[in-house]
Amino acid sequence: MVSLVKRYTPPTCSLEIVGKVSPLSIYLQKPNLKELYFQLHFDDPRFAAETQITVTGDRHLLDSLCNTVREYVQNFLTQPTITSNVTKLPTSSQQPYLHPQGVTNHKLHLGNLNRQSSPQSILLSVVQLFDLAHALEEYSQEIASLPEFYRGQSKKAIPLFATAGIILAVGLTVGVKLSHQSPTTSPSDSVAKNSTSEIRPTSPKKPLSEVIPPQPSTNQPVTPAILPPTLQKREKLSPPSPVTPPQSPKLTQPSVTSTQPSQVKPSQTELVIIPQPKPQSTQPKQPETPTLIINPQPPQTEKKPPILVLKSPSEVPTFQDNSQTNLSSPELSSPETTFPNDLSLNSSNTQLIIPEKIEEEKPHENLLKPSLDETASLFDYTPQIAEVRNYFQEKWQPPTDLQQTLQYRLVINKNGYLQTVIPLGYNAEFYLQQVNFPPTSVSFVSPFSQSETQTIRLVLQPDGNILTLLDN
Amino acid sequence: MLSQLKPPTFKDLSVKKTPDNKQLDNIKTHLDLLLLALESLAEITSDTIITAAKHLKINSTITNRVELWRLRQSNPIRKSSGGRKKLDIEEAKSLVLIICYLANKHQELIRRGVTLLEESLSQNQSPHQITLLGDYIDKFTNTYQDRMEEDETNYNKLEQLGFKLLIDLLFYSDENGHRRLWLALLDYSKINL
Repeated sequence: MVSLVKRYTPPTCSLEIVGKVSPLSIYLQKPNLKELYFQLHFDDPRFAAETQITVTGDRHLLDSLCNTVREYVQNFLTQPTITSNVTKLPTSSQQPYLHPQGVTNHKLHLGNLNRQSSPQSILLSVVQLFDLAHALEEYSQEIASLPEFYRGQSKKAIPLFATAGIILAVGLTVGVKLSHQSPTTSPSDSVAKNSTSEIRPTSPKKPLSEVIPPQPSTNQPVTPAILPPTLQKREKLSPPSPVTPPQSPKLTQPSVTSTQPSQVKPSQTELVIIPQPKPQSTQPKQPETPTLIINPQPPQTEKKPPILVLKSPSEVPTFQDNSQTNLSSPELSSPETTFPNDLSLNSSNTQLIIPEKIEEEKPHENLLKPSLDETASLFDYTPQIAEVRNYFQEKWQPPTDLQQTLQYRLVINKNGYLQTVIPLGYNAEFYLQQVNFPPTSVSFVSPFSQSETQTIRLVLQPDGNILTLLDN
Repeated sequence: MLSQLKPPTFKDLSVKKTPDNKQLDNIKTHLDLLLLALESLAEITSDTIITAAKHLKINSTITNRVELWRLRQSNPIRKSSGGRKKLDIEEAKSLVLIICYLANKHQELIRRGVTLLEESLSQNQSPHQITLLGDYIDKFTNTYQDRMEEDETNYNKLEQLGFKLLIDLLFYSDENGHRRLWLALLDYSKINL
């Protein structure tokens, strides 16, 4: 269930709506609102706080109040003079109703609206009546437009899925291409040139097994004879279930290497990028001086073609974008610190360009990297950072009225359980219930190996982007 | 609270039954008086109205000052009878959108006027003693008497009419004000002024 909170705050009153929307609404294309209730505060600042009244009720009462006020205002507008009597008596004594009081006042009888104090009615000025009508109309219109909102969300999911599929398909295609390459490449060059990269193992959302066809191609008779013994023991591409992220390249093997598996040397089947202790450097790394071991595996295990799955440069947020998220870390706003947006694969020599500043750094020096959103999924300091991000990418949907970035400090204990959530700022506190944090009794991320607790900053942007970074 | 929604269109203003001539006359009168109230409160000229029409993309109905003048002359209680044209329902809708657009643009001023009116009445004070309201009602009554045939109308009644129109404009300045005004016109047309 997703919390729905909406506030309408004209100058002299505020209407707060709280409700639950079933996640099934996305598929039904119609919001299934449950447990909706409201609080209406007549908080005109011109009056003392003790005279201000708050009424509450459920959706039925709110709709009734909307109709009452709408009808009254419309009748009032059709009267030729100010002092006309436009009272429409309610059909039930429990129903709220309005009638004019004097020249410019209107008395709202509360009926069965719940209220904390005793008055049965409220005297409203014209301006107060206008504000009340404004808030109620806004609520009515937004409730009516909710189906469009949810349709929009369901449409949004399709391009994401398609994008993931396209990216993986490109990776496989590149892998097939590279498997046809001439074996003249020297073993020393092959370390950097024939490289296998993938979405980090901790990214569970798009396992490679999902894009593997259920049956291997049957017109490649050489495949069974050349496959390594470990693969020969397996059924061809059939079981995606035993695939774990580190093993996923093995499952891709039959479909991509069956054409010329002998041309790919074992040493060429992985990307080994050796750490380079140059934390200040911002230039893209040359292939000869890699700094990160991505998906390390024994060289003898597989003959893997280079498969590189990359985000398009347009998806990589620029540093300027990150500076707009109000992150306080000075590193984030440093103009010197840039991140290569052009992670690219040259299909002819399969050079992978990797930034130097990757691994061997202290945690506080890595604050930058998780903030790089999609790109950072390759370079998160700890896998838990990506796990947190992946969790909220699935769970969090930005409210339509959200204008500002929300930031939370998540304290996670050694076992990977969420211990504390600290909202940073008023807005973060206000939307706390809508973020859907996991219960503290459920394992949130994989256990930490080094520290007792770890603090991760969660940044939720109004456009749906989610950033996670280590927080000290 | 100024409107941030998409601009209102004719589609928002539907009518089940076309008003008869008598009802159309009442509609013309009421629209002209609302424009008069706006002119009396804010610095609104013919150019302002034409610009608003362009903004609302209804400048095919109101193309220039002469067209606007002829539209406003369709008010049956106007003094001048020459050049009067018959107001059709589409032109009435255009004027509704323009009035609500201008009211929305001047919502703060209208709201201040209504607030001052409430305060003065609650304190048994004459609204004329408040500059904004005094200027407004003076300009409204003078212009009314200049333009309308009913120049013998009781001043107190004119004052009441001016303040009523001011309050109405506040509600029409809201985001759905054009719907409120349109519905009010359809009802109002059944009531003799």
